Amino acid sequence: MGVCLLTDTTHLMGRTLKVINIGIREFLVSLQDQGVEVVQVDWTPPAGGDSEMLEILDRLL
Amino acid sequence: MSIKGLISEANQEAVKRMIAAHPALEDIAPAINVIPGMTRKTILHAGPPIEWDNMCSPMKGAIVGALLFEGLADKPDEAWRMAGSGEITFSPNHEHQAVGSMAGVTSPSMPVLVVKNKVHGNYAYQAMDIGNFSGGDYSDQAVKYNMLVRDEFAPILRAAINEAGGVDLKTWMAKAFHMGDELHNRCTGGIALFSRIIMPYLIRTSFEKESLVKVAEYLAGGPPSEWIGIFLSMVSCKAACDAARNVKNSSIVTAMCRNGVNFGIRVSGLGDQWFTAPANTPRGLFYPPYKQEDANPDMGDSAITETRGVGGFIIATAPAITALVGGTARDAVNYTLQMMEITESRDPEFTIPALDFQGTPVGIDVRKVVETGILPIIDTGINHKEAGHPEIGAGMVRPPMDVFSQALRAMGERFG
Repeated sequence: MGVCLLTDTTHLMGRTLKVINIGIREFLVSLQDQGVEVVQVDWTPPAGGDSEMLEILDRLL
Repeated sequence: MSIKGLISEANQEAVKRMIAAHPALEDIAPAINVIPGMTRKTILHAGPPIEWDNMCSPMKGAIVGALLFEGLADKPDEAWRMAGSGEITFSPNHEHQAVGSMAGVTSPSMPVLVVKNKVHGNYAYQAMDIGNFSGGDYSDQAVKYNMLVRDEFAPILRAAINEAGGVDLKTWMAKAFHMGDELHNRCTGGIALFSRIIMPYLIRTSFEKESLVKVAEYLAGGPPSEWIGIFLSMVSCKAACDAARNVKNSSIVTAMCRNGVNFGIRVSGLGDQWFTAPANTPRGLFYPPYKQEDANPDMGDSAITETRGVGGFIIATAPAITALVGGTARDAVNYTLQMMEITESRDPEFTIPALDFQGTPVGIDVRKVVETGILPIIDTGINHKEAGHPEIGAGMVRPPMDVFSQALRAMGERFG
């Protein structure tokens, strides 16, 4: 299903897509397996999503 | 001014002091003569505070070795008993303007390097423990070698240092970085440089030729000489980081250290308070026949090098070290680049040729560590989990995030 969608999109865009994947690496691997050129951006939520730390950072940073 | 503005201003001041510090080797002296708070029955150790009962085996072994070395006990079992009796005061090196390598044991008559920060006037000290106490070896051989260092090597080196009028360690560090050292686990260039600097003054001393030859050989190569490089680096970094202590409102880390059980940090604006959590175990390469499962959790005050922005932080300048700690030269570059995310500034005097002479990242900000989730990277030697072994390997390790979270929480409370 994913491969078909990508093929359609490529035809639609008129050019080969280049992808930036932010965060979850499973998407990166899936795209690479399909021969898609993709750049990984390692991103995590600030303070790992810890609400106590986020509150303090909001005040101090 | 806003809270954020106050912290920003304070951090700039703390890091400015750290960068501006100018360590110089002035002397070698017995610890009890120079280290504040040292007594005949005090033994200092690496890492944050820890009681005897909770110490790891290599640290206990190192303390036993020190008690034998000091003549406070005649036999090992007597030393073990004395160490656990409450008769000996244990205290972190860091609380006495000192640092120590691996177990980091500093005892009263040990010769210590005496370094003065010529800009801010503070002193720092590092014990010349190279009889392998650092790995908890309390054998006769280890005790006798430390006595040789105290009674023969140290006086000769001291005379040479005095003859030279001191040794500029900041320039020494800057040159070593351009020779492929990171001055934590790789000090090869630095040792050669120091030998070159001190050799003419050694020859000018009045000691007899055979003694001078022994000291020259010690400096020229072989395992003991590797230690002088890390000692000079650590004590220089301690002098610089201590200059950055107690800047009101600053969130910059001024000490990172490990006692083989816990990892501890201190923060400039939070005074003497320690923030501690269980230490992680380094992962790396091991000297045969040792293996990963033999490794003790992280130990030593040598993370003062990373605190200062060298060691693992400047590792991009030392690609050859990957043969010791594992990884690739590209990994080394990536580590340095990553550390730029959690630091306040770049040091214009400690530069990295491979990165077009960018300054090394310096001034770890606890706020940025917690926000990004990026922990400082430390490249380190690895101890065996049982006393009596030499260093068994080298690798990479990161502190526990909890110490930075605790520090941030304390800052949050400070600002209501």
